[in-house]
Amino acid sequence: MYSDMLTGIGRALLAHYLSQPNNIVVAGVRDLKHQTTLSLSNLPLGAGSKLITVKIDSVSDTDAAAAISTLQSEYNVSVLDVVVANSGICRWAPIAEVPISELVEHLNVNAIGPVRLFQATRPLLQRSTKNPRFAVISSVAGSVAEAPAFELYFGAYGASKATINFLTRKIHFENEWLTALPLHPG
Amino acid sequence: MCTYPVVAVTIGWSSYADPKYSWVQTDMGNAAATVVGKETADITLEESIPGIVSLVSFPHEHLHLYEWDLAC
Repeated sequence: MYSDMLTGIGRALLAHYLSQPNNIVVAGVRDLKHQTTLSLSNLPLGAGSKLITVKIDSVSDTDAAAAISTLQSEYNVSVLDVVVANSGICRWAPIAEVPISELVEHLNVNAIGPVRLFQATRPLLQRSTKNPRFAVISSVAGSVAEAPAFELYFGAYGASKATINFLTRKIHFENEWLTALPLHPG
Repeated sequence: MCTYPVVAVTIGWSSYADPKYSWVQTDMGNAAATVVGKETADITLEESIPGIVSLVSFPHEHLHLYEWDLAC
């Protein structure tokens, strides 16, 4: 299961797993009617694989849980082996000038969003017998240790990634049956 | 319409400071690359995705601890 799968790394990951055989791949998107969402149905399918699309907005407190309910009631999917939290935003500004609302939005989308997804998908991950994994597409921008090396104004983004790096590590150690990891994709 | 940019892409630093990190050629990664005077990010999606998939596909404790050190 993936969020949010419209473009970039999300779409490319979706395409990869759909192209493999016997994968049920769930794409979480903000707008089920968006042209880019509709185009996902054109991606090549491996033998026995299929795509399910559900609505998940990272900032919604109810979308992820509703999507899981839909997965179980409409698609008979009650187990997830892999969940990837992929949605994210990035705007640049010096911290002295960044609008507080923008800082809050980065934390809400990039750090709280994956936790919403984790809480909603956890029961289905727990039913997996295939080493369940919860991965977050994160960034070294969230490294406290590396921060002095980069004189770039990504304070809000980096703070949100530092937050989700920590939360993902806590998820990993609080759930001994689960492998949870943040990834830097570059 | 979207209230924030669609989907993620993460940024890295190979072109800026440390060759072990790179930007990926996505909306977010390319935008970051332009800040340091490059036309695009260095890493293609075709290069990035197999790496992500390999890390997600092998839940080996030692590998993960190693990656934790790298990422955090």
